[in-house]
Amino acid sequence: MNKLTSAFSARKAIAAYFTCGDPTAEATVEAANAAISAGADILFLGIPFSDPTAVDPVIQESSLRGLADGTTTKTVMETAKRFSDKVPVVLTGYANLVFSPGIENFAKQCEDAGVTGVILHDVPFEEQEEFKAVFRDYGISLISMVSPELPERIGMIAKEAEGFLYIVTGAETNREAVQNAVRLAKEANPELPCIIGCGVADAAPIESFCEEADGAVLDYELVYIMDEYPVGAKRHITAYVEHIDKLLNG
Amino acid sequence: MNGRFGIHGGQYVPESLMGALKELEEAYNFYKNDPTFNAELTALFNDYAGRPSRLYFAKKLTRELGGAKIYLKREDMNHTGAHKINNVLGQALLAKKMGKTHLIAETGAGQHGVASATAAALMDMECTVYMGQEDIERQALNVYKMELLGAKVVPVTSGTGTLKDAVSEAMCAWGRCVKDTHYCLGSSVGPHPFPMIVRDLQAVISKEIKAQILTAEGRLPDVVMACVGGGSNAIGTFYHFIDEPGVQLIGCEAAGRGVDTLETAATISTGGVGIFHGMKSYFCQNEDGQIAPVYSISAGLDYPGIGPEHAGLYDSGRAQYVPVTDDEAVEAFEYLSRMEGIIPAIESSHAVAHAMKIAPAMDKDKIIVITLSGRGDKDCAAIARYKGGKLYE
Repeated sequence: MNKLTSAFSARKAIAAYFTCGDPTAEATVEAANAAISAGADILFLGIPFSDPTAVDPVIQESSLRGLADGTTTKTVMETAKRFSDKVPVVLTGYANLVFSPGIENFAKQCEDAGVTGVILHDVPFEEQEEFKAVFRDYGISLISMVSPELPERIGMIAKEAEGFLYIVTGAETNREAVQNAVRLAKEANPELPCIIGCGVADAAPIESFCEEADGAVLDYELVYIMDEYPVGAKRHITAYVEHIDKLLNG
Repeated sequence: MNGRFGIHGGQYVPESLMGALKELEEAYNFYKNDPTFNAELTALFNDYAGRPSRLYFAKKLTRELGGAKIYLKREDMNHTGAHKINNVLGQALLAKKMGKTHLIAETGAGQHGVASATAAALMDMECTVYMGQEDIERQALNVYKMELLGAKVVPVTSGTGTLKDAVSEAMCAWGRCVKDTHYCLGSSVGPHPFPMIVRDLQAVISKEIKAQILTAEGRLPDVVMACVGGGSNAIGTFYHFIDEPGVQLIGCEAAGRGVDTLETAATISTGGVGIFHGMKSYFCQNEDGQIAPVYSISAGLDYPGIGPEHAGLYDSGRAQYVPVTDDEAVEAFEYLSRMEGIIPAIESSHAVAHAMKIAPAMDKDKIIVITLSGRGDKDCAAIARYKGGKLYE
């Protein structure tokens, strides 16, 4: 069992997402510390990208704030290094951030920073191998994503998935679709933890979406807090993560 | 591997779009061989868009430049004023067959937006066009036309507020409404199958050139050339000549204020291989892989990437790509207007400008074909201002 999978062994895992450098790298470090103290099991660290097309507008804007602060891939790696001995760190971003500087070069930087997983929003199943082939040599998992709206693809993707499976919900996703997605993934790959990206702030769907799953990604609300409370974000992050932890793990 | 041109192309999109891409690919693979579909498309091309477009021998221009014979492929004479209509009629017809009721499109100069709004009006579909804020200001007349045709124009303020951001926004929007909506992508860019579909629909340009030049001259041309942003009119111009090694293929990129400045959109000259907007190709970018803000006087060429088939043709050496600056394009815009009484789009003027450089040095029995991708009416006010005038629409 690798470091990523072990984050799921005892309880429903909470992955806390922050865009690195939103609004500053130091603020990201403080926020991540608060989330981890409050119970987050995994840190998702977003690499700001010039054209963050795949995500919600709230997270798109955080990416642009991160860039405006001068955040580079180097900043993200330095930030990751400060957490990778505490919790598994997963970087999220776009294909070009990895491909353009060289996949191997990027993988080396991840290895140095102790990063164990990478999520690339614009690399679907069909295009994964080019990245996976290199990442494997460095012990890094390229995380696979599935959409509950495309159930016919879930088994195929889950079978080849590494680390955990990221189930990304949309505005119209309902509980049945999420349940079905988890079932299909577990049928194809029983050992694979499934984590739900809820895309919503409300605690209720997070709780109901995660009933059969192995954890939740908290992104939307945490990014919202970072933007809304330039001062005192920590307190809100602690309260939110503790609240979700209680809902999921009792 | 899907839709590859050498190492370029592919399908680099979020998982949520994969269903829509597969559906589109299956539908296209069926309809492209369907005689009824093709008959309907040909009728639209001929009766509605005014095809075939003329191949015009520019006698005065040829004499004045004193070298190779210059022919102009008059895509500017198409309905809606540019080559964009070829692609849009095909995609709208396909979308209709697929049961879609809504077209979304991005636009730079506004030509593709107008063409999409036109096809939507004709085929009784809803239409939403995403357009950068900066371009809305540069191309106010086309915004009015789109609205007149019944489309909704959505301003895109993110990033540089230009074509790149409009593509990003349209792709995002498609992800939210794939069930009833077709994304009518306007250039030979994006994830497979778009570059293939757009190329097939624009290939009518080179198919006609080939027949027309054989009639006029009894032989193939020595050079065919076109302007390149994403590269749809250029790939259409090249396609039926790719397997004719005697025909030189030249794409003219927008160098803006020069390839040695940051204010340029010359992707091949200044960019590197990357992955963006669903495809692997050449992009203007920094060392971390952040996409660079680009600039050109021409809203239609103001794009940081190039279609993957062009990237493949460049890698293999089959086609050549040259930078042309704003100043050179404006000079060509004015020159062709005076010389032939044809006002070319500022995009197409980039190709004319390069022909003005190479034609004089070529023998008089050589033949150049330039595709005039669009007409310049939309650019008159902006060029007047560029030259220091105070003309506003």
